[in-house]
Amino acid sequence: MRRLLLLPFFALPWAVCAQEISCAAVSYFQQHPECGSEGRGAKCIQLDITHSLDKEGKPFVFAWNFGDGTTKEGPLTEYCYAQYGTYQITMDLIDPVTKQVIHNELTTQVTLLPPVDFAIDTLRETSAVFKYDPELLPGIAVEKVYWKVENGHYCGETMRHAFAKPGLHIIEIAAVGKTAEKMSFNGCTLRGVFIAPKP
Amino acid sequence: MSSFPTLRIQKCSAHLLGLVLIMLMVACPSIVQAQRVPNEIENIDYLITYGAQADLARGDDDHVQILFFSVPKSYKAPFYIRVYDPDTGGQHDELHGAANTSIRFSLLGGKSAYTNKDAQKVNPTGNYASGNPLASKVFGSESTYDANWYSFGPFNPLQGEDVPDMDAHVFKLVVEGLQGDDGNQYRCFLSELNTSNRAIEGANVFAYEYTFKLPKSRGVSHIYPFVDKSVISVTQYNFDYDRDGDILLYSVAKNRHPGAISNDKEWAKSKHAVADAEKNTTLDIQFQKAKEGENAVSFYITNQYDEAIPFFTIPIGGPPRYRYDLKVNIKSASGN
Repeated sequence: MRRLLLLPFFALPWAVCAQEISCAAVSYFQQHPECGSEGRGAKCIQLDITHSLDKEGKPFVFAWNFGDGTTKEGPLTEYCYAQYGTYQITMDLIDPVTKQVIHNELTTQVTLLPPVDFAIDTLRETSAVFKYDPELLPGIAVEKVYWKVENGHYCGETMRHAFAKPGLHIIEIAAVGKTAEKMSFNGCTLRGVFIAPKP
Repeated sequence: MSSFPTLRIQKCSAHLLGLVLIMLMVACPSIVQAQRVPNEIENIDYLITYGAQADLARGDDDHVQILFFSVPKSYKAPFYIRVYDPDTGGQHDELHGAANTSIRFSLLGGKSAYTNKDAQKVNPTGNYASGNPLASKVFGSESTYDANWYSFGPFNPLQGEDVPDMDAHVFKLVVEGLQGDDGNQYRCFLSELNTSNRAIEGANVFAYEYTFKLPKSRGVSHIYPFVDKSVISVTQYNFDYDRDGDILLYSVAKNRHPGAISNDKEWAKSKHAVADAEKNTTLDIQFQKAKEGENAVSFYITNQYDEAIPFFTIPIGGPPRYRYDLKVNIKSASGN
């Protein structure tokens, strides 16, 4: 089973611990809200503009291009990609009578990240060191690891965090690197960690 | 038709418009640097003014075109107002039999060139040619100017009307079809130079009515009126559109509302409410031409007081985009 290595915080020298100051993890998790959403690790998307339909406007056909060559029509549509990645999605309007096309009426970008499957044990310490284990992602040369827990953001393979209070806490973890085929890899996941109250 | 009901409202509207324009021009300097009239972004190739004897069925309701050129006060150097193909004959023009048409181009500045109410009317009545005459020339079918440029100027920016609310000096070009029955198609350019076109940064050109030639091919042309916060409804008027497709109102809150369209030699109008989100923004009046071929049309738009609203060759704040509320849900499995 893939696991994070949990170490007492004093087991590692301070210098190797991830730093919270000026850490790129803040911008990473801002740019990838999907890491903390229910859709992490998913390949399917739903596009919905039904709430902004203008009933007084001229009727058009909403034609979506999902960025991988697939097209669908309608104000509410769903699609499952074959692969994870970043896709540029565009919507054209087609006049149903004249067939004239208004290109790029709407554009958006979606990033589907593969899951990085970790597990975290129950802790009995309110302050602990988490260490990312490279063997958890075989074939991936991980270059950066980002963490988000409570209000803290950390960069690096090792992270120390002092939990403010016992209970269930969510840890978001992301890994960025290269595959064996030199393709970029970008994955994340979200796990809960339970801090047991002190007896 | 464009008179304000009270002086207070007129001053208030002009002040608000001026302040908003200044803010938007400062915020978006890169989009107000091209002063070709009509502008490429409008997808209109030529303005057109017909001789006084031309049938109204050609599309020109009054044989007069009035354009205002705003030169920012920060610009101090001489400038030119250049006209492409000012003659009537040869290339680009619409001839009906032998070329017999003469058109007068008059440049005016100084006090009341812009602020005289008659100048802002959509019909040329009263003292619409107000202000100090700066230059004037009548063009016939001279081959010298066929498919070529004629430059009015040089002008000192201080010769324009000082309009503090716009932080600009405003000049007026009046184009009048004096005689004949042909259509004179032309373009203008507000230029720093006499012999080539170099735009003046921060300048713009606006009008209260356009008579223009739609592109021959099917496509979409645009007119960009700016709606200030006092406007609660607009009424669009179009003349002699020949039911050549749709006229649609597009904005941040309107996704192409169909407007009334006119037939041959007739006016059509339709009134449209202005949403709060549209105030202090630019509307996009879209002419979706459905047929191939020539078509000239006259157009203007008014507010709830029946006052003409100016439209700008470079849309203030950029062309509007309808604000879709797009929800992207990433799901573990498709519902399909």
